[in-house]
Formats: sequence, structure tokens, C-alpha cells
Amino acid sequence: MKLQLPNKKIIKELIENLEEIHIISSDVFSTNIHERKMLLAVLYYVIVPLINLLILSLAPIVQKGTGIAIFQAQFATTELVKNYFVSFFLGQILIALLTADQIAGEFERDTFALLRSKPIHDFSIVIGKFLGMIYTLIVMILPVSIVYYYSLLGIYGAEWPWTYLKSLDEILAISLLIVLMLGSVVGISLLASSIFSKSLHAIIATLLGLFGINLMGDALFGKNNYLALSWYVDAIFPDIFYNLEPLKDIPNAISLVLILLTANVSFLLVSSIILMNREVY
Amino acid sequence: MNLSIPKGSMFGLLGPNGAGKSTALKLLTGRIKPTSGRIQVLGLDPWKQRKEVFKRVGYLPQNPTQPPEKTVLQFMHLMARLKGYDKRKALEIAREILAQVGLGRLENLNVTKLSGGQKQRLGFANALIGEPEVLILDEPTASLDPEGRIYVMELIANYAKSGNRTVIISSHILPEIQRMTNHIAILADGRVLTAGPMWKLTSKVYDNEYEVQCSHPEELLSYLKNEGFECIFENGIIYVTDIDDLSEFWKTVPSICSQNGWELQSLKPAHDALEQVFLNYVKRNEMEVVIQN
Repeated sequence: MKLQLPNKKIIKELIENLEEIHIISSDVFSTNIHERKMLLAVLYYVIVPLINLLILSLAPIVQKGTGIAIFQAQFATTELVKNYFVSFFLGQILIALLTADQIAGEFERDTFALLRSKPIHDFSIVIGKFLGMIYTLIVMILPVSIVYYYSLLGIYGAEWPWTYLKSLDEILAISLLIVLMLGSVVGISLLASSIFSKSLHAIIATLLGLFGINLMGDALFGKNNYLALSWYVDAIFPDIFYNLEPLKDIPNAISLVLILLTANVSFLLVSSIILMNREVY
Repeated sequence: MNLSIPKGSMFGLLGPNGAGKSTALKLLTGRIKPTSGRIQVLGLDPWKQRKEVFKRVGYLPQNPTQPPEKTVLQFMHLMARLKGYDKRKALEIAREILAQVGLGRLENLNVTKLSGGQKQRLGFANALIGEPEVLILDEPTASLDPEGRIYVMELIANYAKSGNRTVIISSHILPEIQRMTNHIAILADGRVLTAGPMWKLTSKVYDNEYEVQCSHPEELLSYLKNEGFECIFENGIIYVTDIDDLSEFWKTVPSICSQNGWELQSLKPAHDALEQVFLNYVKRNEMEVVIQN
């Protein structure tokens, strides 16, 4: 059987599309870091965890040692990710507030016509906005989480070297999970943003959607709310961090990555289809 | 609506408010989807092949808006990048076009600080990126002061002359359309009332209303009235209306002035040729609509 390679035109188009996505995501990122509303996000994502760390470091430490330090660091970091970054009330609302404006705001300010008057695909706009938001959140969240984790190891007296504590694949797995979790919230927000022409409406729709998903998970699964991201943090992070057995009857980390990846792709696909069919008056 | 725009023409879309000019341009630029029928720009469907269309088309929307957080240069650089240029080339092109439209000195100014006219020029600069084969301009001089209008009209004319480019302009300012374009279409109620080369449409005009200025207007007025012409005298100008025999009128006025030693200062149609064409078609359309109702 003859293997058919993609022709030059398809490769050229693919490179063009990647370039478009890169331009839009870089623009979203650079715009975000210069925006006033991002000060609120910086305060929340950076300063609050660092204050938390300061309080922890000032509290009396009863027991020190590498084992204790690893336990404290993994426990506190899991709590940080769960409570600050992916919980419904704190993490998700802030992401929705920051993201829902991305496309709806363009319609509201009448600047979407500018993007539409350039040779770019609508899906490049959606993916570019998505990645721009993810870069912004990564810059705010990941360094803080890493500083947080390793500072706790220091505070609780873990002995140097700490190399055996975290191998690269474990760090990558945790990072990928955080990114995908953030991505699913960014994805829902972008979906609402591609439907509505006013940021406020998109924000309200996103919050109602997220709240509905949480509520539905509670009603369907009770204590094991498979639809709540914070539940996955509880279930998966200790497994990755501490090589604990996964909780019974829950998907393991690989399944979770696949579930989240599917959710991310679906949100982006639906947003792109909606946007492609939207008229610009 | 059935309309064909010749390649390389300067095409004016004329029509009263609500005629469908902006809608026609939105359809041409793929901003809205046609409910029926077929639209092609350079042989491409603007709704389904937007990306391919905008590689070759530049568009200035009515009242263009720019992202408020950007400076003039940042905006132009981003737009040039999206048009497909690499970073270095995009910067070079952005600066070049800004200089062309007279905004070079303002490149570091935030777009929110620009005046209405400057924003319009920036919008026009954006439409010029990539040297488009087709330039679509929706009311390009709408928010400009007289000086800005002249400036932008010259830019458009120079751009069209610089290559075999098609420029489509919508406007309700007739003198501007007459000055800038060589083909026109008159729209009303979403229909094309007439379309064609400007010379062909205006050559058919028979204007039966003239204005006359003379050193002795009152004397000339009474003479013309005695001769049976219908006249109105306003601000020192004699308006002669409903002229049946235009050649007779052309003979009479200069000869009577010459015989009496009056200086004939001006003798010209009261309406511009394009204005007359426009009024004829629009009035006829209004009458047809009334009859149909």
C-alpha cells in the first residue's frame, strides 16, 4: 500500500494556521498582562498564596524532617490548587471573569470586524484566545505553585537534595493536569463568549453553566462529584504526588487527562463552529 | 439585487439612508450571510471562503473601531501580522502606510487619543495593508472634516491609480462619489435602480432647471418672465425651471445679455449631472413604491 503524504498546500495551510494562532495568543497574553483587571488576578493568584505561605512559615513547627516535609508540601499544594485555582467559588469565577470577555468583548467594542477583515480562520481566533488565556494563567499559577511547594519543603526541614521527591514526569503530569483543568473552565467561558455579544451576558452564562455542572455532579454522584474539578484534585494529586493507590472506582490520572482533553477539544470545537456561523452587524 | 462590479473600476454605491449600501458591503465582505442568491468577490464566496477573500481584499468598515489598549503602531503591526507578514516586515509595512496616511508622527499615541478623523485614517491605513486587489470602503469620509475629506479622497484616488485595483465606495455624498469613481450603482429599498459607467449614466441626463447669474438680474428676470419662462429669484440668482426648449433657452439668455450690455456671470444646470441622475431614479422608485402600495 502506498503511503500518501500530505501535499505541500496542506502543510503550508497548517503552518499558516499555527502562525495565526501564535499571533492571536501572543496578543491576548500581552494585552492581558497590561490590563487593569489583571491586577485583581495577580493579587489573587500570586499574592494571596504567598501570604498563605508566609503565615504557614510563621506558625510553630512541631515536627521537622524530609518525610514530614514531603507530606506537608503535597498536602498544602493540593489544597492550594483545589481551593484557589480550580474550586467553583474562587478559581473558576475568576477565570470566567477574565475569559468570558475575550470574544463577546470584541463584539461589544465592535473590534471583531477587524479580525474578520483579515485572512484568518475563526477557529484560529478561538484557539488563539484559548491559548492566550492559558499562557496568562500558567504565568500566574505555576511559578507560584512551584515556589509554594518547594518553600514548604524548606520550612518543614526536608534535607537537600530533594531530587527523589519529584521526578520530571511527575511535575509534568501535575502541570498538565492543572493546565487541562484550567483549560476546561477557559473553554466553557470561551463557549459562552462566542455565543453572546455582551461580556456581562457571557460571564453570567459561564457562571450559571459552571454552577449547573457542579450542581448536576452533586445530584448525580453525591460525595464523589465526578463533575467537580476539586474532586479530581483530591483524587488524583495524592496519587501523582505520593504514589498512593488511586481511590477505588475513580479514573486514574491517564483517564482524567483524556476526559479533560476531550472536554477542552469539544468546547473549542463548538465555540469555533458557533463563531464561524456568527454574523457581524 | 443583481450587480456586477468591473475589475479595475472605481465603483460608487449610492443611495439614500436605508437603501442597503452597508448591507451590500457587509455581504461582499462576508460579515453577514446571504439569505438567498450568490455573491462572488474575485470568484470566491465571501461567506464560505473568507480567509482566501481577505488575502486579496482590504476593508474599511463604517466608523472603524480599534482596540483601546493599543498604540497606533501596535495596532498596525498586529493587523499586518494577521495579514500574513513576519514581525520585521509587518513593522516596516505598518510604518510605511502610517506615513502614507499622515499618521507617522502619531505612531506611539494610544488609539483612544486620536480624533475621529485620525481614527478614520487609521482604519483606512489598516485596509491598505497587503496592497489589496480590491478595496472596500464603507462611508470612508463620513466622520472627517473638509480638509480630512480632501486628504482621504486623494489617498483613495492615488491608490486606485497605482495599479489595476478595484475600489468600491459607499457614500451618500454625491460630489465625493462623482469625484472619486468612474462606475456607479444607485440603490434604494435593497434594489439596484441603475448601474453602469458614470459617463454613460450622466450623459442621458436632460436637466430642465438652470441657474443664471448676471450683472442686472432684475432686468433679466422680467425679460425671461415676459418670454414665458418660469423663474424664481433668490439671493441674486435666477432659477429657471421647467424649460421646454433647452436650445432656445441657451440662445436667448446670452443674446439678451449681449444686446443690453449686461455681464453674464454664470449659466449652468441647477443640479449636478450625477445629482440629477440620482434624484430621477430615487423619485421614480418612490413613486413606484407608492403606486404598488
